[in-house]
Amino acid sequence: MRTSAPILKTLSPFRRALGQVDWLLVGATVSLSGIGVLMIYSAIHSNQDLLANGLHWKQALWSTIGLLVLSFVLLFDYHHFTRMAYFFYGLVIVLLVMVLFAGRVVYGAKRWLVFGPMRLQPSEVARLAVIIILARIFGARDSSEPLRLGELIYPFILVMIPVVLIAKQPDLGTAFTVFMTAAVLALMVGVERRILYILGAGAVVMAPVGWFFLKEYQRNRILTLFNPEADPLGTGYQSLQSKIAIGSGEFWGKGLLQGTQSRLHFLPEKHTDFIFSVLSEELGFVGGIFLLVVFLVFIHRCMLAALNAGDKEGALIATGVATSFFFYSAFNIGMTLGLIPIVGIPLPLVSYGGSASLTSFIAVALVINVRMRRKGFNSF
Amino acid sequence: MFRSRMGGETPDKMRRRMQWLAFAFSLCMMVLFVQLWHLQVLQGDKFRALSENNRIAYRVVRSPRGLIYDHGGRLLADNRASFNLYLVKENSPDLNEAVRHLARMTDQPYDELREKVRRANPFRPFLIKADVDRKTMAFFEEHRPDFPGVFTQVAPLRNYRTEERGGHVLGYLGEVDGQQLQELTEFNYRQGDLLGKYGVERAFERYLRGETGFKQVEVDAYGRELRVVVPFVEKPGNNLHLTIDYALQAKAEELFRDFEGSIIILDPRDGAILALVSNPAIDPNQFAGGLRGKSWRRLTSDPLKPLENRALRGQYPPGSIFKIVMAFATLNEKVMRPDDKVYCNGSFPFGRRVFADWKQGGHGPIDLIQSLAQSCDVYYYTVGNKLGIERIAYYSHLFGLGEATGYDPGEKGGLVPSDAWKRKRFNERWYPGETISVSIGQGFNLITPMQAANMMAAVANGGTLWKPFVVREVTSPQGEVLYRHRPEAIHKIPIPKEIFDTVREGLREVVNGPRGTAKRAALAEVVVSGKTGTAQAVRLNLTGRKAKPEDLPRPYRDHGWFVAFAPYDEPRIAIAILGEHAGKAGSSFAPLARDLIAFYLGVPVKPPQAVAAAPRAGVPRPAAIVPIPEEANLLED
Repeated sequence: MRTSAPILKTLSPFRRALGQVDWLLVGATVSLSGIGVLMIYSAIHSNQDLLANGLHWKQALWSTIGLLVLSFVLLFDYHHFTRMAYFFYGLVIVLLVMVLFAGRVVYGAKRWLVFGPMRLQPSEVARLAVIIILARIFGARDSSEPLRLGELIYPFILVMIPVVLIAKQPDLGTAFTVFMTAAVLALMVGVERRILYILGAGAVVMAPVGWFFLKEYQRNRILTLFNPEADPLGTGYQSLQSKIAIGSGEFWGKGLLQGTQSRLHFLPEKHTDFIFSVLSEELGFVGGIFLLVVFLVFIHRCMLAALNAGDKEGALIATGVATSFFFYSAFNIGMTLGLIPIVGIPLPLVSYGGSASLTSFIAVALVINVRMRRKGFNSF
Repeated sequence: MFRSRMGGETPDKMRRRMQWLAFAFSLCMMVLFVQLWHLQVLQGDKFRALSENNRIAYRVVRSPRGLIYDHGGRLLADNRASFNLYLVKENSPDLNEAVRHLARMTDQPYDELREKVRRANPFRPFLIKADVDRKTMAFFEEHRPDFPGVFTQVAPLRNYRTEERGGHVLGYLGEVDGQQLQELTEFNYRQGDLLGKYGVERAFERYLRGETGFKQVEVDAYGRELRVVVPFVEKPGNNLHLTIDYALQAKAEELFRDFEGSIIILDPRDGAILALVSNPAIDPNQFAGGLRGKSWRRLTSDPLKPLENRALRGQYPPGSIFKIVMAFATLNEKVMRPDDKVYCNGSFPFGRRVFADWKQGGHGPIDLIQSLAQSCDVYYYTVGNKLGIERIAYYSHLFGLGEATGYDPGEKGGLVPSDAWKRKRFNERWYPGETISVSIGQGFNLITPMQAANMMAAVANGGTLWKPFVVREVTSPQGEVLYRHRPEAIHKIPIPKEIFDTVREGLREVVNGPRGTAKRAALAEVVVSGKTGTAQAVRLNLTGRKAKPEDLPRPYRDHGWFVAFAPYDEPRIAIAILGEHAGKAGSSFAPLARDLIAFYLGVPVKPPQAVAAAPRAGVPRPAAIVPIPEEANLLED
């Protein structure tokens, strides 16, 4: 027994570091990925084309790669990433511009870059790049006073460049969540009340004006939200179908692979945007609540990491990841539940998508990293 | 180690904000919890029911129509698989693009289709086109991913195996229209159903129609069937067994190809229709999927009116075939005895007018039999004048002229003029001079080819005027007889047999006599009897016709008639041929009838030997027989 002591001693920094890993967060992450793979299989198992593509295997592969990348990222202090924030940011902008010119068009939107067998969705990476660069900018600020208008202009421009590029794809859902995440981070740092009042008033004035700038189908989606049954075969179709799928799952669900609604293609995009509907139909209220709880745990562990972070930078990274996950999951689930208009937003870690999964794992890695290196634990 | 360079520790204010944020996140998540509870637990039943409705669809199933056979059991009409092209609007993301392709592939005007699609129910399959060709079907099946919402479905479609023949008998199908849909509610017709619009398809619709029902199927959102939940057992329509002899029909159509007009062939023993030709013909297959648009407009605007059944609806002056009725009237009213002779010098003065015979110089002294054989006009001017219009009208009616036979509701009656008719129609009395032209089948007289054939059948069978029919039997798909036609006599003609014998003798002379006007209809092994006729298409002045028919413009050319029956002793076939504006070409109807009779009776088309043409023992013949060149006979009337 004694002979092992020197080895243990050598390993002790690792052991200490491993002790600081938020296993609950890792558990939530792995659970979400696992549920994702299972539900993707269920969603596509009646569609021979998608099944033949082995989307569920691809997703499992990406999750595994994600887990490895996560472990790898833990080896480096998160400050290395914030130091390279501008590099990441620049890379993401280049990729987003490339998408505009050389992107693969799917469903009328240019969102993907194709590298041989791989498809990359730069907008997924962009959301993380924006969090890191804001963490760097706001984290480096010495003052604890609220942000003044002058201080907001530069980060605003930095955020708007990817937001506009993403919106042009068009991917309004992602553009919106990236912007909202950035806004929340600014609010966390603190913004002068004056500015908040001006923005609030501006929003009230602009809302009706903005209404006229929306395309008709976008307006219909919003109107439909308030009365989906009014046009069950038109605009409200997806929303209603999703609600029927979820509602018909009742308490215990119809059973895995037994979801008639999703199996019968009543749900469009069921392995991506409507994966929650598939889950709720097949696994019922029990399954739906379980997933919501896992998300809540996930977000709370991120917020906990933020609250206990060793510095502002770490706190902002963790808050950014939590916020981003919150917006994605709440919007996606809210949309399937018929609470908000249908916007193309995936459910993080659960929906099919390699870029999204990988980005999510890196984001989780950063949060764990922040937690590991909180006050007094930054020696590794 | 980075901290010194960075912004330092998280300020308390910021930590507080983050706590509020976490709280806000939880609150929002709670909303999701509540909505999930609401949908799945509180409203679960409702949505479960909705989900059942969603995936179980009721599909209309149309059972195949009954089969149609000819009298020998030859299949004339059955059903084939056809592909219908549908669009479910809701599943088509780019509707304009889809409609553009559909319009192009199905050869429809884009704007029309766009408008129809616009009004369609977005979630129900909308029929873009019935019976698309295999190429179109293959295109859309192959490019299914490019056209979401477009799909094809198999449906039974009428298939006429008649090579475009018999269209006017079989009729055709058409899509049920709005008004019919209302009238037929109790019979469960649905939008898009095809029903008989014409011919036996229409007359026997209620027998032929296969039952329409529903099957419950599990469908996906594209409306594609995944599984049949509750099947519908097809109930095909009942089968018709026609009296038509398809081989004879085909032969008649082939021989009559170059004419407009009609041929009716009846079985004089019961009125069964053996063949019915109306030219221009229609191809019932053209209508199989419901004819619309360009092809329909082309058919309806054709000046030759191919959709009109000339056998039933064409009304023509009977011309010299009317002399048959006149002969009966003459003998039965005892205006003349058979042997009484009228001297024909080629003209008949009446009042201030002189009515000419078709033969310049006249026929000389002529009795009833020869008056028929040579078609002497002066004989009939004479007897017609003695009979008067009322008696002529009476005998016309006796032989069914001027009245629909009752074969089809669309049949036209024609016209038998009388004093009463003229007073009513023109508010003018009947002038005796008018009787003269009526006597040779001109004037106001109008009959249909069907009436001519039926008259001839009655002459052939010795006086029974049958109601013509075309369906002998209806059987269920299992072979059970549901309907059997019982021959129905319109009436028995109250004329003694001897008179029939005499007139029939005259008709035999028309074909077999040395001076007969239709010698080219004669056959070696069967005695054919008949009567030629030429009817003026436009009422010209009977007294001074000089122009040659071939010099006249087509609408002014005469119609050609030929009626016949055979065999003489036991008639099995009666035939009427009418060629519109056939002019001189009408002279070929006698040999045409001969060919059809020979074909039907299965005897060779061979003219009788000179000996066979000799007078039969016991029948008095005119002493002096002067041979007349055959050509001259063809220009009678």
